[in-house]
Amino acid sequence: MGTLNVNAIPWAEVWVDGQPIGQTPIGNIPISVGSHRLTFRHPDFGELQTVAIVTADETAYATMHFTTSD
Amino acid sequence: MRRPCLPWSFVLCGLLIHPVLAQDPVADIRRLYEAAAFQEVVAAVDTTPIDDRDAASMAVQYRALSLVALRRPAEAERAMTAMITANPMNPITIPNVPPRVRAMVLGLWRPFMRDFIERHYRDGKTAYRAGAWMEASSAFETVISAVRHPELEFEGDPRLSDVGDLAAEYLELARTRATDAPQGVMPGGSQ
Repeated sequence: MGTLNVNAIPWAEVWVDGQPIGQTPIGNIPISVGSHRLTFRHPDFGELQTVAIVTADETAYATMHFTTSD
Repeated sequence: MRRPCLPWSFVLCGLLIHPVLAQDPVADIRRLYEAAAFQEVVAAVDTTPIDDRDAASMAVQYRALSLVALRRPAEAERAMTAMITANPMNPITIPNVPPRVRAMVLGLWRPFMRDFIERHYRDGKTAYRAGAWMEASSAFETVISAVRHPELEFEGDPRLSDVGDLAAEYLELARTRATDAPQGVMPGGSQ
């Protein structure tokens, strides 16, 4: 097992492999080793996806930026 | 504590040791937060002295967000209370705070502000009775601003609406007295 930290800018509802895990920021998510599809949804910015690679006994980090402004 | 060392985060690690960026600790903390390095945000805020009041406030806000993410609710609540205490009229000054965290802050902020309003109203009246018109005006202005704060939505609260109306009347009187009498003169000729 590994863990996953997820964030989105400005924020998002997140699904991991199709399962909802809540609204960002979300940390310390226990997750199996391997690749996982992350889906980020924001009511104004729509949906974006990425893949997180989780390794054993490590924390993986995933961030999605919906906007380009700083 | 494990560091964020996935390949993409090498860029982040490189940025953090850049000497120019080290002069802006809040920018570093924000980058860590945005990169979902929540444990690192908490550690950075707890170990980085920040003298500037506004910057320190922002750092505390990123710490609170990170504690929420890490599911450390008691610590998150204490951090949010610190945010509110430090800046009662505007505890959230960083961008991109998610709705659920805003709701958590609001849940602590509203009861805090009820006491804050009552306290400033009492202080205003005490100052008014002492003839400290400027001090009284300042307290009543604070009361009115808090009662009318759009995020707090106190306008429909009968008790606080009354306090706001009374504060407005006291404020007008205090301003009038301030133009008529020097500071420190007791009202009603009881000097």
